Amino acid sequence: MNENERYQRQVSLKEFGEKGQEKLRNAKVFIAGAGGLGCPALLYLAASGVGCIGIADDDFVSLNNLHRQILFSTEDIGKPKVLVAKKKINQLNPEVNIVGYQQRLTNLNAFNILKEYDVIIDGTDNFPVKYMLNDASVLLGKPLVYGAVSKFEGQVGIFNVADEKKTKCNYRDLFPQPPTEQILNCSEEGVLGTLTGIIGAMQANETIKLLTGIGVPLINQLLIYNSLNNDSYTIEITENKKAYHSPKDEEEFIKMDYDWFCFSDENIKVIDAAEFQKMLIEKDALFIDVRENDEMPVVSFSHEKIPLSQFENEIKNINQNTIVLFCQTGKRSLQAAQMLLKDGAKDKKVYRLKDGILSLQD
Amino acid sequence: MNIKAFGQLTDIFKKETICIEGVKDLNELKEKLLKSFPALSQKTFVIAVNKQIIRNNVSLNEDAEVALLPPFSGG
Repeated sequence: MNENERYQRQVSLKEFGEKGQEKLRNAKVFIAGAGGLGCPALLYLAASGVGCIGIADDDFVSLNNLHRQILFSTEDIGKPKVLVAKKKINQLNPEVNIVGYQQRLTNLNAFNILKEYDVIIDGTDNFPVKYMLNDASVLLGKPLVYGAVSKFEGQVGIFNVADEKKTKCNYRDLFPQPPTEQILNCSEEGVLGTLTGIIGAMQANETIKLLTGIGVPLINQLLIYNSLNNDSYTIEITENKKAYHSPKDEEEFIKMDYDWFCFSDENIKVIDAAEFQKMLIEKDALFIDVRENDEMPVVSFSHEKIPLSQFENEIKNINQNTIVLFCQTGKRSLQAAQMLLKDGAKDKKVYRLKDGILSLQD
Repeated sequence: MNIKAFGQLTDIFKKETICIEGVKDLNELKEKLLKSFPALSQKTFVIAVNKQIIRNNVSLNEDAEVALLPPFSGG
């Protein structure tokens, strides 16, 4: 196969040329999340000939992913996203070295993984990971191509790259603290696949601009695109270092609890398996299983079952003041805790088991 | 002057842009917005004036363009 032919249409752009292709070939790009943003970014960067692309995701393909996560097919349902992504990208462009990390990116593994790469792309879908990825990129001094969506709007920006005034801004300069109110994600408020496609492709485009030095990348800027009226609005981000305390080194970074940081509330405490067992013995709290009926494993200690799907309607029937919420892995107990908070559980002490029932079995 | 809302904030304004007259600075505008839209007090957002993030009080011309930007988390 003639490689020149593969990239001929982009190499013939005089601004890009053979030099641009060479820069892409030598680049290592990391994509956090193989979801609505990660899939289009991965497809376009692989097609354009980025030499090495790392992709991390611990999730499996499900049917309701397919309308926006265009890397996956119906036959892939139930398979690990990272494995499917590797196979599909190999078919698309065998010249690209795809490194798959079939694991959740956390502050415990992020440093070792990210340090291998030149540019990091945020394709994640929640605040704890977005802040974690931002802090890791700041500490490692790596460009972060940020992206996020909400309903019909998307945001794109580039952090940790010096502008002509040598200023480097990051996500915390824009939003020093995570929101305290509930912000719905795609699975809760819905999203059109075309929007994540547009924003993910813009992230890939900004990455190509950064790597090849063409055009004017969105450094220290945030672009907001509205897919309903095609308005785009670009604002300048300025330094705001006094407004936040981010981890100052790797050691502090590893000690961070990003779930806690993003969802901490004086009335909601995250507890681990040991603290959970201790509270079971103390018998002061009402334990609530928010998993749907029939989910395994069944637990033997005394508890109530209020599946998350019915939780909001049942809040009024919860009279106890000390409540421990648990689910399978810790995601749904968080949502239940947020529902309680939204409902004004200010007089209640709400605890949730961090990594769910599965963490009790170790 | 025109105040532009983004993301979930458009649900509070019920539209993307509203017009508020006769305010001289950002603090006065914030006060007026919170009075007209109390639900804003529950929301996290930053304010851009003429496409620059502004954190202190600044005086506002009638033709200033103000935008309220919430964080997005979807992907």
